Amino acid sequence: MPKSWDSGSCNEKSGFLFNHECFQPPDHVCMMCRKPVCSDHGHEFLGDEKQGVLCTTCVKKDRKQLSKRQAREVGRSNGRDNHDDYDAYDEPYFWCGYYYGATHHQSHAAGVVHDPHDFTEADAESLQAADEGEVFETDMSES
Amino acid sequence: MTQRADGPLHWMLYAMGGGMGHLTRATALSRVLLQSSSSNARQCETRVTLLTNSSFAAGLEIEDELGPRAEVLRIDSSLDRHATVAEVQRVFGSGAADAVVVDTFPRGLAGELAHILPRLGCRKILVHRDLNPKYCQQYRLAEFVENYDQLIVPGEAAPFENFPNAISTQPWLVRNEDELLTPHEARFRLAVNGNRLPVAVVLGCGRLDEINQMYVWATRLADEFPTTLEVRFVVMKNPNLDVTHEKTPRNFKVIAIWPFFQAIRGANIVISGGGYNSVNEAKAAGVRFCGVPRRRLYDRQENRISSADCIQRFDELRMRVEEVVLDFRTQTKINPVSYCNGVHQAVNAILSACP
Repeated sequence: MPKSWDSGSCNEKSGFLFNHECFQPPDHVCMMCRKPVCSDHGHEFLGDEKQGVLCTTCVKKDRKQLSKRQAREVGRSNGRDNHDDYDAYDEPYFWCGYYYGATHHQSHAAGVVHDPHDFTEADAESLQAADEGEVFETDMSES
Repeated sequence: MTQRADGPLHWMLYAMGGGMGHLTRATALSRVLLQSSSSNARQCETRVTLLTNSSFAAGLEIEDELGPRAEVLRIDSSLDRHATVAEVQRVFGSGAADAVVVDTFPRGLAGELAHILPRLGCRKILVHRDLNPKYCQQYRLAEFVENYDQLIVPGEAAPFENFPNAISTQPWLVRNEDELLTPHEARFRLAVNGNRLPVAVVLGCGRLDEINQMYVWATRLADEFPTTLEVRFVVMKNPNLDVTHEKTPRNFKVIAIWPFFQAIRGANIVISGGGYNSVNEAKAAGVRFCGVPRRRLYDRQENRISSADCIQRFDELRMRVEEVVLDFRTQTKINPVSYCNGVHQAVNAILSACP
């Protein structure tokens, strides 16, 4: 039975460090799961909006499947040459911990390399503080 | 929540947000809604539910102020966003209301009303005030406010004030003109003996660090004008200040009054932040005012305080108070200023638009 979505706002639960609800107005409907999503959580399929829009959850799944297919085809996922169609997914939602490292492309696809200097939950506060004054609907003591 | 064809009219007032502004406006509205309905037999059953998460609400006797037909739901101010949203959802899911009045935040303080409002079959009214333009843009509030049947603009410019369903009123006040104490009564309420000296009222409101700053400024004023000024540090409820063991000047007292507005005619100058109530109450009563605009995420206090009334440092405050002291020596009797309480206009507009 298909899941019922709230059409009044973005239904995606996603985030850089933590998954959280998004209350922004929806701009698109995910072509796979029919979830209403805002422009931040909507991703053009194959880099072209005309092809459709995927929500962040579905685009992650899609990307994972693509990686498996590519790994099967070439033995290992080894670089951007095989990812040309997915440049649109080159966004923070899809970065793994070792994105900035020398083995960026390999880990970008596999996402399994552990970096001891990677971001942790403790970094969330500093990220929020850096954005202070711009983050609406988060501080319950504001007026 | 569905609208009922008969039975008592139940108003849900969403007054979420920090400080005293949302809570006091909702209290002012509740009073008049409950009073207005008393002339009609059916509407005698009118009741109000006031929803707040202000940290001040816990110590205030709002029920005494509003009477038995009002229910005040206090959400713990220390709850995080998710817990607060859950509480609001629980409240909206647990009872029927015939009308919902949302103060300031069209989508709710946490954006939670974006889910709730479109599903409500009842009348929806937004108390529409000035909002940070970035907030309006980021959340497309111009589109979202279409969820409301009416926008009521309480005395200050607001971004959607020209919408066809928007009505502007005078500022909303928690007391009508005839409900204010006389200057003599008000000075008595402020524990000031006689009328020999002017009274500077410093309001302890806002955040704790702001209250502390105001307390320090109040005691400094009392020190600097030891024989020419009475200073009252007025708090809404007992503050978390350890003042009991401090030696304070003889012309200084801490007084707890809520709402302070009823005693405003006892003050010769009011010193506060730049919040909605402080500024509009002083203006309405014709009492001198000076305020420190506080930084808030949504409320732009710097736009509310006139440049003549705006202060940032103690030496600026001292100059303003010195003028008051000098004027007091030469002034003759001042007649109280008249004002119109915009909350009556608001209630008339709301009730006349009800089907």
